[in-house]
Amino acid sequence: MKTIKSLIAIFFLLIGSQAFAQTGTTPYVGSTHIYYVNSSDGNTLNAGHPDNTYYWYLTDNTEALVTDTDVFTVGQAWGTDVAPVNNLFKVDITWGSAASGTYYLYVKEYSNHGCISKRRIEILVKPNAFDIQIAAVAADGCNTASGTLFTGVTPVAAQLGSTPRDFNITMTGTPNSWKFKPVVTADNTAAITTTTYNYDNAGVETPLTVIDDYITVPAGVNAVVATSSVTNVWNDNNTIITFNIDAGEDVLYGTLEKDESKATPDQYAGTATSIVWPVPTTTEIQTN
Amino acid sequence: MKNSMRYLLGVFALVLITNFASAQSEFAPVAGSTFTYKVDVDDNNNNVTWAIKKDGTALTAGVDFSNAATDYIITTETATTGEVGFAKATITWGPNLGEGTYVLEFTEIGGSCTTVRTADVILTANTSFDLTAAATETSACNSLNNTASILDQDATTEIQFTVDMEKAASWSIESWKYKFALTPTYADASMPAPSITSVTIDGNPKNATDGKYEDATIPEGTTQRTITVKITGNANKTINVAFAVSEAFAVNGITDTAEGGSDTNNATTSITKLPGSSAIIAN
Repeated sequence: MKTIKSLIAIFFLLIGSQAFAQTGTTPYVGSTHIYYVNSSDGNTLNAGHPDNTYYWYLTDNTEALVTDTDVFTVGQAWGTDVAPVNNLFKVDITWGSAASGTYYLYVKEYSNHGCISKRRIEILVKPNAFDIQIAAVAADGCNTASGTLFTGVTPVAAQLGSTPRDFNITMTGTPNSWKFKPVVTADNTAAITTTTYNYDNAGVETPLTVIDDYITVPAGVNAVVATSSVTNVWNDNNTIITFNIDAGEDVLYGTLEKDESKATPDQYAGTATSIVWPVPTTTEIQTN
Repeated sequence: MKNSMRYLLGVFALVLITNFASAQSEFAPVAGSTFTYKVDVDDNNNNVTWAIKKDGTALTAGVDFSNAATDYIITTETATTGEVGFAKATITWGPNLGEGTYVLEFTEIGGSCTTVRTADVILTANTSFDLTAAATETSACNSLNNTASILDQDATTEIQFTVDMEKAASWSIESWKYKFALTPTYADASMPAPSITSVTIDGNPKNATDGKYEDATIPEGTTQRTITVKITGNANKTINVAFAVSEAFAVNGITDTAEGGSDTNNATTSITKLPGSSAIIAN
C-alpha cells in the first residue's frame, strides 16, 4: 500500500514538473528567451536570405500592439515597419513583471523586392514557478563534543571539534541547469569551517564546488545536500547556523528565483537554520 | 484561242457575296481578310479551278499561315446537281502578303474548250487592326504578402492582363475576337507547374479548350479587355505567367480579318516570391 502511494506521488510529481517547466512559448515572468527564424541553431543564418531585413513586434491576444517595457524588453533595436533591420533574424526577449497571458510575437521579413513574409508565434507567459527551497535535515541537537572526555580548565579547540549539519536545497520549475548563491553564517563566536555540496548522480554522491560565489547545478538535478560544519565553542549558548540562499537563477533563461523576482522581493530565495546545542561547561573535577 | 475566247465571253461574272466593310472590299481587301468570290458557271459538270497570280506568277495556297510558304488559304464549293450552276471560292488573303495588284483567276474547262475569268484585286497591308497584349503589372508580391503564414504555404494570387484593340476609325466592324493561352511556371524549373484556379473576363469565367481560352464577339466599341487570372502555388517561390494572344480577328459577317501591324501578342508577369522565412523558433 505504501508503495502504491509512493508511485502515485511520483506520478503527480512528474506531471507537475512538466506542467510548470517553461519554454520560449510558455515563458516565466522574469525569463529571457531567444526567438529566431531562418536558422537551425539560432546563431547562423540559413542561406537564401541575403541582406533581407526584419521587423519584429509583439501584440496581445487581441492583436493590439504592445510596447510596454514592463511587459517585455528586447536586447536588440527592433526597427520599424518602414525601417526594418538588416539580418535581424534573432531577438532576445525578457518577459517583464507586467506580462501575463497570451501574446503574439510577429516577424516580417522583407525581400529586396519589398515582398514580405510574416510569421507569428503564440506565447503564453506564466507566473514564475522557478523556486529554490532550503531546509535543515536533522532536528536541533547537541554538538559533537557531547560526551567527549575533556581535559584542562578549558578544552582546546582540537578537543571540541566541529559539528556538521546537513541542509536540503531543492528546486522546482526548470529542467535546465540552475545556480544559487549560498551564504552560511554562525553566531555565538562559532565559525563555519567548511560547507560541502553534493548531489545524487544515479546513486553516486557527486560534489559541487563554489565558483564565483555560486553553486551551479547540472540540468535535471533538483536536489543538493549542503553540509556546513561549525566549530564547537566552550560556552553555554546555542550556536545557530543560518543558511541563506542569497540568489538563484535559471542558467539558460536567466529567470531569477521567484521569491527574489516578485514585485517586492524577499531578501533571500530561501533560508534555514540549525541549532547546535552546547555541552555543559563543566569544570575539571576538583578535589579537596 | 484562249485570248479570243476570253474576249468573246468577256462579261465579268465574279460576284461578291460577303458583307461590305467601309474601308475594304472584295477587290480591295486588306491582308488577312477573308472574302468569298463566286462565278456562275456554264455547266456544273465542267472542271473549275481558282488561282491567284502576281505579275504572272501563281501564289501558293496552303492550309494555315503558320507555314511561311502559304500565301493564301482557299476553300472551294461548286453547285451540286439540280442547283443553278456556280462556283465559289472563300479566300483568306495572307496577312503578310505585300501590297499591290493581284489577279484572281477562274478557269472553267468544258470539253476541249476553256474559259478564263480574271479580276484585279488590289491588296493593302493591314496596318489598322492590331491587338496588343500587356500585363497590368510586370510583377507583384504573392497574395500572402504581409500576412501571417507558414513556409511553403500555397496561396492564390490574382493577376491581370490586358488586350488592346486598335483599328482605323473609318473601318467599321461588327466585332472582334481572339484566343489566348496562359502558362504559369515556377522560376525554379524543377518544380511542377502551379495551377490556374480561374480565368475571368468581366466577371465571366472562361474555360480552356485545347489549351486556349477564347474571347469572342467583342463589340467594336470595346477597345480593351481585361483578363483576370488566379494562380495557385507556393508563396515562397516566384511564379512566372506567360500570356500569349493568337488567332485575333476583326469580324464582319462571315469575313474575318486577321490582325496586322507589329506583333506584341505576348506578355509576362511575375508573382514574386515572399522570403522563405521559417517558423519562429523559441528556445
